[in-house]
Amino acid sequence: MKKKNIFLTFKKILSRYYSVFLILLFWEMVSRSGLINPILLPPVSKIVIRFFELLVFGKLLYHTGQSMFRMWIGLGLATLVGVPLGILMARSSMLRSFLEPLLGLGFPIPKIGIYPVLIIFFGVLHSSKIVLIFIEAAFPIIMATFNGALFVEQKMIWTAESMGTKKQKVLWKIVLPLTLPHVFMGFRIGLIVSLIVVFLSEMIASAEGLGHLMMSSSRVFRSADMFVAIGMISFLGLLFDRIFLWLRRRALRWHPETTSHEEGF
Amino acid sequence: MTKLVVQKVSKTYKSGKEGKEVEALEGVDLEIKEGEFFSIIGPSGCGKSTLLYIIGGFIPPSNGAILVNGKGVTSPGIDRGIVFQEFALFPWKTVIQNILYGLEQRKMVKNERVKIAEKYIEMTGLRGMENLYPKELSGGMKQRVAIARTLACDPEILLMDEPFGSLDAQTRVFMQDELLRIWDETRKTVLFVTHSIEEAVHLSDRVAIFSHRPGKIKEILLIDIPRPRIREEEVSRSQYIKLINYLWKAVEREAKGFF
Amino acid sequence: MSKRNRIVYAIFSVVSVFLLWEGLSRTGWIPHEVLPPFTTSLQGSFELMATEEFSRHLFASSCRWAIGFSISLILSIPIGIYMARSRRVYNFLDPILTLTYPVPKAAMIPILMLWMGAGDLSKVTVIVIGCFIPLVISAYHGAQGVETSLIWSARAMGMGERTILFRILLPASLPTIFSGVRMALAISLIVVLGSEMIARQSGLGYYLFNSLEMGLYQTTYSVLIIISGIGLLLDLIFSLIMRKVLIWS
Repeated sequence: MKKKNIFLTFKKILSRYYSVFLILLFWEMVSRSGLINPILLPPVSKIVIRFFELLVFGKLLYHTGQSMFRMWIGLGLATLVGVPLGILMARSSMLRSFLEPLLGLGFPIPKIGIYPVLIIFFGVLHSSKIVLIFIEAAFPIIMATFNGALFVEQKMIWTAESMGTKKQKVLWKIVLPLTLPHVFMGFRIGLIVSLIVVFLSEMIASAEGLGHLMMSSSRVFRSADMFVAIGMISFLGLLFDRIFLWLRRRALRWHPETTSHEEGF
Repeated sequence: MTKLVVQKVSKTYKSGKEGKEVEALEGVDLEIKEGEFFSIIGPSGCGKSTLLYIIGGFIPPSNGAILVNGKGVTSPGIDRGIVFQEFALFPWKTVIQNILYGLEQRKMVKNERVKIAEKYIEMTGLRGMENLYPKELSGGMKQRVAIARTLACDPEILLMDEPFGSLDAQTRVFMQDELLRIWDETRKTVLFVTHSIEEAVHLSDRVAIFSHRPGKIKEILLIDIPRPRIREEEVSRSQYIKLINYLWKAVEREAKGFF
Repeated sequence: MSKRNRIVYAIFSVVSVFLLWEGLSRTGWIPHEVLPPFTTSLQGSFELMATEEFSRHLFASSCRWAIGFSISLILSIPIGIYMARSRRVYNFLDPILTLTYPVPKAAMIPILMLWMGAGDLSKVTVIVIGCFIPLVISAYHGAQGVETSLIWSARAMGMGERTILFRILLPASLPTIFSGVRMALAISLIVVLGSEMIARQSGLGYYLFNSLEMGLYQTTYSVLIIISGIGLLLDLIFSLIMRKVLIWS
């Protein structure tokens, strides 16, 4: 019975992702045939082998750890600061009129341009990257939270007040839960953005991390290692996204739009 | 005994970009007795909901005062419970969690709270649905939860703003009788705003006719149909027919008067 | 809040940020070398734009961006719309997109540089790749969201499939597509700058980073101001275009 289920699941994955498998197969063949210089496009098999080599003998875990450390502190701070700020902005028109234009103007500015300035202030170690990630991730989180908190039904707040809830507590007890779906949306974008930024900033100027691994490998033409770096960060991105979706489904069980199954994108 | 006194309450809004002044209410005077079921009817936009919100303490009056049990009230409080047309249930909480919300503000042991909540669940016919989320409930059930939630706070007055307005016709009629049954058990003072004349007559002890904007009370009618009000035999009473006709004409007059 | 009030508040907050910058620097709270005053940096920006050297780099970046962004638009949007119309195409592309979605497109830069050298081709390609997914997704959702009733009534009126595509589907999906384009715009700028900061050969990104490495911090701030200005300008132009085209929305 169990064997049949495994076979069926395998078949399901194969049929859904058949295009991916085709491309991987094509890749392996083209690379091995010598049509394309294997330095430019190493075969998939070599990349996989190299992955394990770097994992066990190389410093893959170390670099991954460095990148993740920076990313999660930056993202975490962006959430801890961004969510309350977004809610306060929605409820206080004074704060809103001051911050909203700044957010709107800051949005189209390519914030990677600030990176050199951050390096001036913080050097090339962790802080400059963490601050950059914080800035980049804070924008979508604040904006999504703000938009969600803005449209909280007045009557829900009134109901809570008529049951004895004080004005300050209303923010915490009523506005926050109602804004949660939007917070999740903003956080998802923040997740994607912080992944991009950590990698990019490490490629530009860093002595460690997956981005650095990428660059140092490229300088000595170790293309397989480069692919390992990409593969790692992509895998992490996928992993975090799945975990996020799972968490969201559980936290938003009550939401009318939550269905039991998540689709592609 | 007088439960609620509305003293010369008026409300003016600044509306639109030019800051034009809109007078929503003009010198409303009202006295409601304890245990009374009092309805307000009137044409659309005449300000009856606004009056309810002022009594609830959600918006301040421009002039006048609200007295509950002789004491002035200016902000929302647990003495005035409110039920909205849109239910305003907390979607992230289950039925029983919604009902427990108000109780959680009060100092008592957890067991006591659950016992009280269950009493109201029983009373409003929600047994078996305690752990459902609002998204899984029908309109009628949602409104029961809203009523149970407000009653659990044991308010002095129950304010109801067209509570059955979003329900379909059959559920609406059914809920009216459910409300009467529940009200009979608790005999709370109720201030009920509605569009439906039949609803007002069926439910209330007295009905106030609101004028068109700026709103004020044109007339208060006594509904002298004896309780319990059984629909099938009520509708054939001459008293009922007379009241309905009179109220229809009065409201029509007010609605026309606006145009 | 009236529009006039909003503009006043906006000016107020922006000006206070600049004042803060100026104040922090002039009072010496943060040393001049680390944070030159805003006014000095702004002056530097204007001086820079007059120099021939800087203009060369600016031109290089602009060309790359313009070409890359245009190609990306021309390529991605039709694919996205096609995905919405053909289930088979969707089934083929969807898993690829889902898997490449979390890959930071910036990661492709060194690999593309390996394949195409550190010149313009790699940078243009990276822009195309970077903007591809958000554009395809928004084009897909835009076309998907067009009410079937709209299409059916068009068919009932005897419109051919091609007419339906151009006169119904395209205009109806335009709002969603436009918001995707706006996002892709922001991404494309980051990608261009980022790739230039990595390749360190020419362009605004190179110029910016180079000034940092040479310790010419004043220049760094001036270039930052210019870059920010460009970003805002492009977004403004785009919003105006969007409002003109979507005047019916």
